[in-house]
Amino acid sequence: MSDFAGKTMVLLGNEAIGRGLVEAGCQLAMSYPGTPSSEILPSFVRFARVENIDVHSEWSANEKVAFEEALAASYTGKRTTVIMKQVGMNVAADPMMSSAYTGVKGGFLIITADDPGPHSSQTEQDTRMFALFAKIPALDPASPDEARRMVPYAYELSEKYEIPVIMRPSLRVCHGRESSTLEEPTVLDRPANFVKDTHRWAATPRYRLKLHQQLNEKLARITEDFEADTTFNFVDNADAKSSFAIIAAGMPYATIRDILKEHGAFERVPILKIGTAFPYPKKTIEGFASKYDKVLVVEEPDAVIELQLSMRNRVMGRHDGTVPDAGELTGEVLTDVLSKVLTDAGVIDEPWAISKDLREVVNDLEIPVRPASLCPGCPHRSSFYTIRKLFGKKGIYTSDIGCYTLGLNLDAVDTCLDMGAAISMATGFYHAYNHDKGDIPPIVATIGDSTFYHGGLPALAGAIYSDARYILVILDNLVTAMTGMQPTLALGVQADGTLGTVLPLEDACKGLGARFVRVQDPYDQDGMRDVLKEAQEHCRGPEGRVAVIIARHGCLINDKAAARANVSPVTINDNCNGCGLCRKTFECTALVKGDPVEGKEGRFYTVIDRRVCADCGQCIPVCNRGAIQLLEN
Amino acid sequence: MSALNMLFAGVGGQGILFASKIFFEAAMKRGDKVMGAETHGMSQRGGSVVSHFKMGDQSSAMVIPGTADVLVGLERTEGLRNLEFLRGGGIYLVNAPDLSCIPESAMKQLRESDIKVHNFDADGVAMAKKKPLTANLYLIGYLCAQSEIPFGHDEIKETVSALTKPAFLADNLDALQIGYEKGKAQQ
Repeated sequence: MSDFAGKTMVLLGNEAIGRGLVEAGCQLAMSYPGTPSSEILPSFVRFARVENIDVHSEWSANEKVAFEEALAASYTGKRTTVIMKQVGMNVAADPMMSSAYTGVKGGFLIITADDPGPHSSQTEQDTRMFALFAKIPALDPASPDEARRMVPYAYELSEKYEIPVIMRPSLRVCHGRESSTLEEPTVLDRPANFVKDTHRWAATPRYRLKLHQQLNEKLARITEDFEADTTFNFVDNADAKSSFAIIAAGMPYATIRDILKEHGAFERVPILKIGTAFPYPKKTIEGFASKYDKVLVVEEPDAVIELQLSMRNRVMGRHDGTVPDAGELTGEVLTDVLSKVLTDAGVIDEPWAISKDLREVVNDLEIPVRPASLCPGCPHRSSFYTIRKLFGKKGIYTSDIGCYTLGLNLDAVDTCLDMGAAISMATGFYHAYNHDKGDIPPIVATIGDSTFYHGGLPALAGAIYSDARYILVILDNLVTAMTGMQPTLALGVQADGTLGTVLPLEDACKGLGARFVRVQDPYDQDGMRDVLKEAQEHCRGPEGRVAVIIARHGCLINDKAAARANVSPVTINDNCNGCGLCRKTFECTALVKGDPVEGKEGRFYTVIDRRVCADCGQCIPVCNRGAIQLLEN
Repeated sequence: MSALNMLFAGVGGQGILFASKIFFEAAMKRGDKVMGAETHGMSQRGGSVVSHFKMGDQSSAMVIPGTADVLVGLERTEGLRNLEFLRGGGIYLVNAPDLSCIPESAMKQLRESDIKVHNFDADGVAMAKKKPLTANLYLIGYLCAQSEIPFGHDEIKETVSALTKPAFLADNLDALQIGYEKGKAQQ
């Protein structure tokens, strides 16, 4: 008996999903961290540990690798999962498309977290669109606890039809909290047993056609299952006398309920809630829609149900402009949408007297958005500062996905595209300029330690092979910081805390053929400048290749020893003339505007914000006048 | 079970998540249904952070603008930014030595919306005691003293005790107590 079953706990959505995996008997879980999905794997590990269940868990090199590992494990009959954020699915798209055809043996759940907004992603892509494209069934939870309850259902579905199943919680489900009453874990006694079947697991195009037909048959039967489902698909207020109704899915369903209740209009509006996003439960949705003159479809981030609804003249949503076609459907957005639509439909007599007054007053104040900024003391800031100071405006700075994208605040990041692109784009820039046989501007690629292993390895192989020459700075803060401090391959620490094999970055770079590979602490700004100069000489020299600098200094948030090692509290002395250069070029949130300089409009003395200052002392060399100095006791 | 929506707004590093966690635990202990959410920017430190707390029969984890009974501005600008979440008749508690941090136009609208505005210089008191990280507990203590909050001082004290590491317990309880007394005096 579990000590946890029957207990009620407030869980973060991602914790609830991790618990759901344990309750469903998942045996192997692979993931690459990415907001808003990153807490799912650690929660799975934790709940398995407290329940004394032996599982395998892994922070994989990237989502494609994670996907293929988990899929193969499912071929042996085990229950497995792969967990990622929505743009991770782009990386895993290749195996995913194919896996729909091969199918699976043990239950295989693909958990992909969407980010309407977007709040911490490059795109607002909708994973349900991927489900349509790949022909993989997809579930769409509307709350943390529903996400937990969906997991065992997803595994049953996956095994019943031998098909991968997607569950896509969105940001507010992942990072929402809700009380959950936990259920018994499932412990499966399923030894790995890979039964060979080459026409399936290694199918040639001829057999692929057959597999495609089989996939279509599976989807037809799953459609019937979804149409019969009343757990995740149901109607609120079915008896309400109304010519207007709502179809809602995911987080917007929850938001709509609360808005309607707040305004006392809930009982007047029939709402069909859809939790099975694909295959389209046509009878459920169109049977419901046929009863009303107008149906508002509310879903995010894209229009997936709306797109499939055949009764076009009844449908209102993103396509006819009723619902904004980009951005998160927040309470604020949906309150405005509902107020207008319900008035037009005659459900309410006049638009809600929404208290917009405070919003307008605050808007008029034009409070500046607090810009995202590297943390005070961040070693990346020192790297970027030195790089920018040495190579100036002429340099081309390609960068990548991570905290260090914020190097753009120091004018040291010109491009950010996707994981690993810092290196391949630097290669592209080099070849473009080299094509003209003229001067090649200094090119510096910056990429994080984890991102290097994720997408940088093949890019560096290509760069060395094609004889590209530029500086590659691997910003090695000894952790995957942005997503919440997961270990990297270079550390050799596994997801469950046990030790794996350490893969040093310098070995990887040398192994791929780099001749100039140096490790440098960016806190030593003089040393960093010297090694950057040497690197530039190397790549412009006759034997030059990509020159690699591993800028190694622990993330201060993660590494308490690193935070304590260089304590150098600073103060501003009378030399400060308010020029503001330090605030602009070093861009640290601990260097802030103080009193105005008398007689010089727009100039402010710099002061240190003690509440946030990390006492790193890295800003001392920034001031030409020596106005930033060590604080004397 | 009484419904209650609260919002804690500030910047990273101010202990906003701990503040809301105290109320989650206290509500759970009573068997109330709770939901909530955190929103934060890309920064690990120094960015805007908002924690949503909802108690009662509700569906969404996020507080909808115009429905918060309580807004605590742990940082004055972040408090101001989130004023639209307050419902008429709600409470706004801001971490500031006086109310000069609220521009006249906003103050006028708060009064018109019948919102009770409180200020308490939690940062000042905490800094004077050289315990800057306890500012959140001063504010929670202050909040608990308000009659509109369905949580008692003892109840919150017990929860704080259960959630605090032993090394910080005395400081946290001290801050909670001082905040509570200050809040009582301002009732």
